[in-house]
Amino acid sequence: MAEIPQVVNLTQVVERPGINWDDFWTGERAVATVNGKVIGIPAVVDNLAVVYNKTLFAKAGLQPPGPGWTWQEFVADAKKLTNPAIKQFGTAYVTPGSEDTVWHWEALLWEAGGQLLTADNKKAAFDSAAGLASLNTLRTMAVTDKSMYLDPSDSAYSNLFNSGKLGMLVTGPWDLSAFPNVKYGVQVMPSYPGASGGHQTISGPDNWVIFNNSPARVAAAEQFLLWLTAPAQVKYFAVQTGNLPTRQSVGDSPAVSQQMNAALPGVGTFVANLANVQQARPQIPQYPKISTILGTMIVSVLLGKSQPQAALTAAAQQVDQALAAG
Amino acid sequence: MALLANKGLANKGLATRGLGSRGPVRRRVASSEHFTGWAFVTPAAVIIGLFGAAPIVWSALMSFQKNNLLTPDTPFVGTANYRQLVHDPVVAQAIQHTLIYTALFVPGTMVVGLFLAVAMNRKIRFISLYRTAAYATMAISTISEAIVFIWLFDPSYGVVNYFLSWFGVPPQQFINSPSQALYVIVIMTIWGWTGFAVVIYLAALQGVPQHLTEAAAIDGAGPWQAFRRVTLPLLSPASLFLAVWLTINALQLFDEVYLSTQGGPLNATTVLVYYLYNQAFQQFNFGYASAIAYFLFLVIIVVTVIQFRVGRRFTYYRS
Repeated sequence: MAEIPQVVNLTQVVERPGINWDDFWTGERAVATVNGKVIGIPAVVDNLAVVYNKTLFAKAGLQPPGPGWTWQEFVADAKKLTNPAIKQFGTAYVTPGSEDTVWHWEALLWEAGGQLLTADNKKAAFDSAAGLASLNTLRTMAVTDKSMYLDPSDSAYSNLFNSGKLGMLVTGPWDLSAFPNVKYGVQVMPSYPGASGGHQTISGPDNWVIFNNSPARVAAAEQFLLWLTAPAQVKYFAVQTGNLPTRQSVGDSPAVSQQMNAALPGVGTFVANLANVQQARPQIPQYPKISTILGTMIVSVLLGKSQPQAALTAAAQQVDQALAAG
Repeated sequence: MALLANKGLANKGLATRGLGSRGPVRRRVASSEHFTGWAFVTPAAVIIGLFGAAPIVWSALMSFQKNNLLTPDTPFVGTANYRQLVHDPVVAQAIQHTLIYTALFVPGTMVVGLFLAVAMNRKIRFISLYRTAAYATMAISTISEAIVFIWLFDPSYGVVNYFLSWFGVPPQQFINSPSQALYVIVIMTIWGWTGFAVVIYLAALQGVPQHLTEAAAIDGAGPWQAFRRVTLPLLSPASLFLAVWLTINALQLFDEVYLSTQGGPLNATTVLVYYLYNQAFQQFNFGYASAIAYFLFLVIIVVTVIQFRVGRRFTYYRS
């Protein structure tokens, strides 16, 4: 988008007094800013957290996950929640190999203290101890424990969770309304103890972008967007629709969280989890190509077709080539 | 439509009557007839031109460009896209998958369709119910079809694995398996297209004159011989039509792949059109995607011409 000349540069607009640009979440601002230029104002935001089935946890004699939980605990819980006799799985993973496959893993990579690319976006950086740890976590569940249901259609998992066949799901707030039949809880993503990442998550924010069709229209559009994304409107939109608030001041308000939770249980945890969005995916034109390479890497590990280290090395080589080709 | 056609004929009659009597009148009638004709044709022509012809020309142009449809910078790169196509390993895979798919889907659909059509070409009770049921597969939307098949072939919850377990077959991975996923798509699409083949074959079977099969029976031919030697040759025009039509569709397989496996697992179901879609709408390489599209276009032309040439030899048209 940033390459389109008609897209209006909003850098000066968001710095106007009263806009309070820093009130938008870190992850949102990172995505709206390309090469130091602000090209969009956050419109919709989400993130990944763990949704778990309270009934299945109780049946398996497990404590519900706490805010300080680890991936080791997640893997152990998933194993205990798995029962082949009644076709119950601990968790699920979407495996079409698309970006949906990739961003679920990227959150783990960051939590393990890893990075996708080097700081200058010139080379792959995920072929690291963190990359290996994150892939091993997934592999243990998919291949060793068989506690992970693999969903290549990207659509079966939500029905299975709603049917009480899955113990835990790493997913976003958009799925909550699809689970009316189960008693679920929501917890932040587990962490890797000892790693620098802590509890993180990933977000795919959408932005409002203005096209330059004439100075008058740009001015009108700017005025409208600034009104639309002001705290009062963000609050109204969040409470009425269940979409996460795009501004931190709104998200931090306990009243907003309570109102949202009443309408859609568990969504409050997703709101609080926005503070754990510390990084954004690289804003470079080669990202779709990189995503395809990573999708293949993750799926081949999950299907047991390749070992994590070999898959990492091969993917890093291909990503380096894609970045060098420009 | 019939009404409009009649009206047109009436106009023509008028014009003919006017012929030779008074020149100017005739010209006026003729030009108003032209105007009416164009008025009827123009809306459709504009729509076809805008959404059919223009994209065809534009994508031909794009196949020689580096173009992401977003930025105004679209440099001509000559035949670079076509050269890239030759060396792209995924294109080679996609061609292979497309050919395997076509080679299984086309004969599969025709055989199943013919079998059902013959079975339903008789006067039994509830026959129209059966015929409707067979054609219903054509009326069902592809997305419903894909969702149902995803569940039928689900490795853990699918009823297909349950049936296989009756025969002691261990659970298969189906759409999670790079070596099986393509065959699941073959089965899915044969099911979806059978209704079409049934209708074509049923219509053709109604056209087989009974006296020919009766004559064969009198000459001592058994039912199988009569079918093999009399009915089947008489169905050959329908068979040729189906072979050509199904092949063109098979080479353009997309919906079922997009809805069930998204080209995976590990590219196992990436066929040419799916790869083209991926390049265009996910990687934003519209130039390269256009080159793939034109390559496919050439393949379809060549295959169709061969089918007609070869088919003509085996096709029997009653005069």
